[in-house]
Amino acid sequence: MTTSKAIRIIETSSAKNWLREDGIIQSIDYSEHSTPEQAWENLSAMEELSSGRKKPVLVDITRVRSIDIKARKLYASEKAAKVLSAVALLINSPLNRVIANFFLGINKPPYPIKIFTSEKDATTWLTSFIEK
Amino acid sequence: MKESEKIVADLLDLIQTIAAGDFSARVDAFSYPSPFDALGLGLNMLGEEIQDFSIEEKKILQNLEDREEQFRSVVESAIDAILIIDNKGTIEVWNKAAQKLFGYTSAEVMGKEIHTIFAPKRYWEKIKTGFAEFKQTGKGPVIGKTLEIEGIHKNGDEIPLELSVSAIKRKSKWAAIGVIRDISERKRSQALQSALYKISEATNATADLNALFSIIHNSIRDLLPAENFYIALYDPEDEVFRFPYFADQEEKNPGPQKLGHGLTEYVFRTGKTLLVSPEVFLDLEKKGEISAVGPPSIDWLGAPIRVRGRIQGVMTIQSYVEGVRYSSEDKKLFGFITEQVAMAIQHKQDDDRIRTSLAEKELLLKEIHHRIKNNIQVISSLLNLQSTRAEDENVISLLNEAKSRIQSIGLIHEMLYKSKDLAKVDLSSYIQLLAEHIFSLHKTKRTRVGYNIDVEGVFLEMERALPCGLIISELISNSLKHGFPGDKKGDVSITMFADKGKKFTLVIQDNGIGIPAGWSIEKSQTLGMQLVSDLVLQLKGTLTLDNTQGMKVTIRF
Repeated sequence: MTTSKAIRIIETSSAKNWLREDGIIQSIDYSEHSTPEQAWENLSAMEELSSGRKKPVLVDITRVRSIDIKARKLYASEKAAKVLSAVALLINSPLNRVIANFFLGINKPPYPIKIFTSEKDATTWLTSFIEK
Repeated sequence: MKESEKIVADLLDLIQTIAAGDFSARVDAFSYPSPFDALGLGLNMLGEEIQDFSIEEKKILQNLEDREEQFRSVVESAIDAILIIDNKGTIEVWNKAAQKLFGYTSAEVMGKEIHTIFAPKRYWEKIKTGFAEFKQTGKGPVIGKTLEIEGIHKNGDEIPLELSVSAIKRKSKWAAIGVIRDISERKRSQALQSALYKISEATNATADLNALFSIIHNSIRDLLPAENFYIALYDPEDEVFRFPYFADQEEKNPGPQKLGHGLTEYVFRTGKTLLVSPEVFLDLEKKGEISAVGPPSIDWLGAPIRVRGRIQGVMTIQSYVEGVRYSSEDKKLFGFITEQVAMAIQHKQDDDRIRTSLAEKELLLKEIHHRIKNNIQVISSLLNLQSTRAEDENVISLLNEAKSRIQSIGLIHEMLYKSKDLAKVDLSSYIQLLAEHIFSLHKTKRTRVGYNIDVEGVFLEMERALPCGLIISELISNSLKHGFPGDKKGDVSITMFADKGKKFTLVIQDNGIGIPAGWSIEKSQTLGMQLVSDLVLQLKGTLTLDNTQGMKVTIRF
């Protein structure tokens, strides 16, 4: 459950992205199969919400059933690292845990990333990455 | 079979297919119940990653192969020899140019120590020490430098080389890349330039042709084996070959030779540079073109000396030993040098002719001056005779004055024919002689009137020396005649100098009774003073008269 108010919202073809009052960007990916184009759209939306300063991001992938390899590479790229200071992946099933685990190993991004099953815990962890 | 068993079989099959190398194999993970869907998805994703990695790896390998191919083609197509040596000095890369330069194939040298392949033994110790340092530091006496060294071809020939070496580090070990260029042509061209320069210098510096020929021989020796060298010049008057220069290990200078059927005559007849090996000699002999003259040589190389379009002789080098052979390149070079030598000979001959002609002209000019002086002496003697017969003092005085003037002119001609320089008169000596002559003519005792001359380093050409002499003669005579009446004693001084602007100042001064007030040279009616005035004009000069103390005439021109 989101406790912080949304300051600005950007919806893409596959996700809803918003900047929270506490400085965290939150994103809910609605796509069943995430494509590179969608990944690009979402990263661009996050870049716009970050206004040039890296932000911690909470990504809800509970609805995602697969992510294309190119999309995974894009999320783990240097381009993403310019926007994201840390990412908390919110999961709720063995399926999206498998997906999330790829980001911890094979597709490890150049920013801190962690898997959570609770939004609260995720928010707590991300808070340490908020720039004062 | 249960559904779960079928799924497990599916997944095992997927793993086996991927393991067999088909990385594109997938299962329909989303049709499986949880948690098999996660398992299927995981395996699918791993397959995807392996497939992606495999494609990337192939790309990298292809890229590496392309680079390797590029490197190989650059190295192999290079004009310069390129070699890579590891830190022990063993050869790893040896390109085609290196093979061409040193005569060894890549297989022959690979893995061998470089110094054993092409370095002369005198470098071995230095190479050894250099590599010991290079192994540790990547530095050494040749690293990062371009040096001129000598290398040895497989056939034993020594080759002048330019070597550039750079160091590279591979897996923490140093290796060296050497780029080697054959600089034989450059060296040859430098030697040729130097030889031609020496010949050209000698053409101007040497006194005669014989001295020049000796220098030509030494210069050719810097380019070609030329222990045996001779120059044969044809003397059309006696119809013989003369050998003004003859250096030979087997033979002495044969002296003048009537034209026969030797190789020298053959080149003289045909006007073409000729390289004669034993085979060529036999062929020419068979054709009746030549016959053997002198000790047989291995190779004989002769070129015509063509001066002003006419062949004047033949220049030759020859070898008597098998190890010394001449190539067609040597033939070209020798022909070219002979052309330069011909020019030098022409220059020297022209120079000698000019010198002889100049000496003849100088002699002639001296003779002319001598004859003029003698003729003037005759005129002076005639005037002398005339004056001894005259009774009228005025006539005697006029004749004496005329005689004095004529002798002033005669003195210049005397000085010129005695002088080394026919163009200019040394005024210092001339004025000295002139003063002595005028004082003696006026029978003036030096104890009563003396003279001082201060003229040094003034040289004038005849056109200006003669008017100067006449002016001095007139003014000294005037001083002696009018400046010191009775027993009055005094001095006459003559000073002459040139200023920086090359203007001359001539001052004739006495401390006699001076000149009457209002008297001036221009207004004077006497012939002598009118002569002075006209001569100053002739010199384009100015005259200043000062009578404050005796007489002082200053002329600037």
